[in-house]
Amino acid sequence: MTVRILMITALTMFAGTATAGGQSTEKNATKTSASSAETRMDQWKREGRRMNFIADHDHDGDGRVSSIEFEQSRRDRFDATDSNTDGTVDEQEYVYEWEDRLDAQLEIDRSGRAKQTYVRFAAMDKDDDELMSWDEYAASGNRIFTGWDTNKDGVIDSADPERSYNWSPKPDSELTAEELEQRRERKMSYARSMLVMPTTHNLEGVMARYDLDQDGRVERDEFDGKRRADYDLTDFNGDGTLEPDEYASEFEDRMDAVIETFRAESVQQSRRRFEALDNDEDGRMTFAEYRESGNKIFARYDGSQDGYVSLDDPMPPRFEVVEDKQLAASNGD
Amino acid sequence: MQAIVRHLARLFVCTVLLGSLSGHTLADTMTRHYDGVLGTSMDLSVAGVPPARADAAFDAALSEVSRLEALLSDYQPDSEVSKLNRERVTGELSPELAELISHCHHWESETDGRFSCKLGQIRAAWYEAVNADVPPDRRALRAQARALRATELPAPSTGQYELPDGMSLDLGGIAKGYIIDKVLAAMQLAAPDASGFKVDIGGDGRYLGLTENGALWRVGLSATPEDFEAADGAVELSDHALAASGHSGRTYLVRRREYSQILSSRDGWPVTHDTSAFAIADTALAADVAATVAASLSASDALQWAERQSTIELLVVLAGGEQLASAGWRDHELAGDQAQPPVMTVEFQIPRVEGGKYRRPYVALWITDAERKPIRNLLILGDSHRWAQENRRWWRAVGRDNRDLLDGYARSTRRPGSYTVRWDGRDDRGQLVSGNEFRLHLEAAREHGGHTYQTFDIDLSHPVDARLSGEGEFGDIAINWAQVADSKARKTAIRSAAIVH
Repeated sequence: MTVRILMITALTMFAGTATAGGQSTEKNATKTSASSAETRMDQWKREGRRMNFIADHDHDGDGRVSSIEFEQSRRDRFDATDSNTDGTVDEQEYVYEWEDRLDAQLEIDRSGRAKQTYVRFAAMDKDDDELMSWDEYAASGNRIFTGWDTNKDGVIDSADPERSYNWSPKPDSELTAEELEQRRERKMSYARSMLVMPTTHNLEGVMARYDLDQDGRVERDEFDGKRRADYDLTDFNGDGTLEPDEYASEFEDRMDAVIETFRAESVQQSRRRFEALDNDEDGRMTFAEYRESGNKIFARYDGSQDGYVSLDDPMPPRFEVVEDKQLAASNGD
Repeated sequence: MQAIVRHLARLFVCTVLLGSLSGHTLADTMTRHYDGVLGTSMDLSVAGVPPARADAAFDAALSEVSRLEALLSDYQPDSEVSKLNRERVTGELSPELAELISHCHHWESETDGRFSCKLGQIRAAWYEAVNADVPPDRRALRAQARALRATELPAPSTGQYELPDGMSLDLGGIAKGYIIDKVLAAMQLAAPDASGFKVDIGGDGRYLGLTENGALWRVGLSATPEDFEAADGAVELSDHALAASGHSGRTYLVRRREYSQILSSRDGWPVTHDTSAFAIADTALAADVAATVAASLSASDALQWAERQSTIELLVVLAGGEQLASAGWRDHELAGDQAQPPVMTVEFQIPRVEGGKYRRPYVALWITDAERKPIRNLLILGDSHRWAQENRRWWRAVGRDNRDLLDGYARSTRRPGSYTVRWDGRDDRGQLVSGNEFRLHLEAAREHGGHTYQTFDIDLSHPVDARLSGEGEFGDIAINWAQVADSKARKTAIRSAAIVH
């Protein structure tokens, strides 16, 4: 299976996106191959990736990508990557190119998330005094706990019936042209994003943060204890209340830890991608080798096989071996 | 001192002596150019005295510079400040270093700690990062920066002076201005009867009196050294100082990545927005600090800060060329032929909406011209990229293609209340608009709430006092404009362009 995964990864060389905060590809494959449900967000990202593919390579602006346009893109990127212009791409050139795009995207993701913390703060700061009291912080915790403790027995565990997720956006058919366009941009932006922070919007995130003894259960006092400890730790100046900057700094610390790990993994992965692409293992990738992998990407999107990728093509299926994040996220452009 | 100079961008300011073009000069303006001063170059001018007297002023300037360099240079290992940073404790401080540290205190408190002289060790970590080609640990730097913010820079006193653990002096952003002021004072002492002086070190300068034929000192602003056409405008100064700061010049290069040398005192990390700032103040020191602070903040935060400082005027130029100027900045600009347009005032309400989860609205006010082209963003509340998109008209017309604009321009969201915004008749690039027909757009969107979009047609040729009745996310909107005759009233009117209750 690993071999197959590497091959798919190879298809995705120079991929536009991978996702931070997930596990390594192999782990994801084994862990998620059984699960089949695709969240709405995952679906949007998948659609967004195809939109990005079209936007990135549609040079004449006719809304579709011809195989010739795509080949030109490949050529351009190959030449840009070949920084010593010797006609081949070596591993260092390949990895550098990836790192540049990785860092640019992570910077965008990071600054967006950092700003969001202030929005979150304002939402939790119910009395609008620019300070988050323990009561305000605890109220937010209470909403998280009761939201996941669906059977109301004071414990978040497998006995809780699955939470019905309340995010149900209007179907596309009910949107105005403007709203559709807005949704399209949102999907494209989700698809480009690489940074995934653990979140209490899913059970894994709740467990990762609050199941301290890792017994698969979060008791109420376990939860409250952790909230209190987090609050006190975040209260850097020890004045008993949280300023926006304290709240943001705590989040940024966690975010930077995730970015650091993800970045290292992602660079490592790009080396493996290079090895897979360098078919004859001579340490140099020729344009022929690069084009070959590109052809497979193009063929995947060109479901109708008419030599054009457009939104009229059938949506490519999800990869079977991997559910989504790491690999499927990187399929494509 | 190299470090000080290094982290000022290569924003060049060129002085044009108007008098040099005219035929009748009483006594020439004498000028001198010196290289290798504070790691950059120095340009001096003295007007209205015979050459011998001017030479005395130049000599005085040179010896003052070397005297101060020996005290304040952080790249001379035996300077007073280098020794203090190394040995952590010293006997009595020189009066100059003591004075400079007092200035540090003053500006730290004027800027709520955004300006800091305490970042020496964080800067050292960046030098180390460059040498080792390994980026610093972002969390470790943030912890260090937070600890520094919580630690007072010891006030200078008679007797021994000691730096707290973890704190070293970083006088970049203030020492150069201080030295310029001192050099000017030394020149004045040597040539007290001169009618005017100019001291310019590496693009920051202080201007006193007038040129030999009684003209103001004219200074061109340009964000690129090659461009002596002064792309960003020109100002006329007397008894003022001008400093520039930005990111386009010097950077830390780590793993092929360039980082600005302007560090945020909040987390010790280089700022990422790409803005240039020009500051005019009474002293070169204040201008130096103001330009440094402005370049380390988002443009809108910098402007809000400058509006609270009565003696500082600021011009911030975003990467895309859009300008944000404090109210008094334009008074220093070379007056063009164009008549000053009316000042328009827009007063609007953010109503309190009951029920449901209340979130503050995201608001956009902008102006389009007769061809419906957006020419000026008056107000953007809410800097989140995600939510700014909820103001769909604004997003499509402006925001989508101007990511930097949102980052630089947007202010934080506001609670319900009454707000006032003024338009000074200029476009986003600081140019006076022509024509009379414009349209004002007002848009607001609230998470879990509604979305409101209203427009108002403007004809600047007739004074107007109008009122739109409120709908949706806006309460009543009052719009009026009238010609403001004299420049002082105009300045007062625009001064409150900062959003007010």
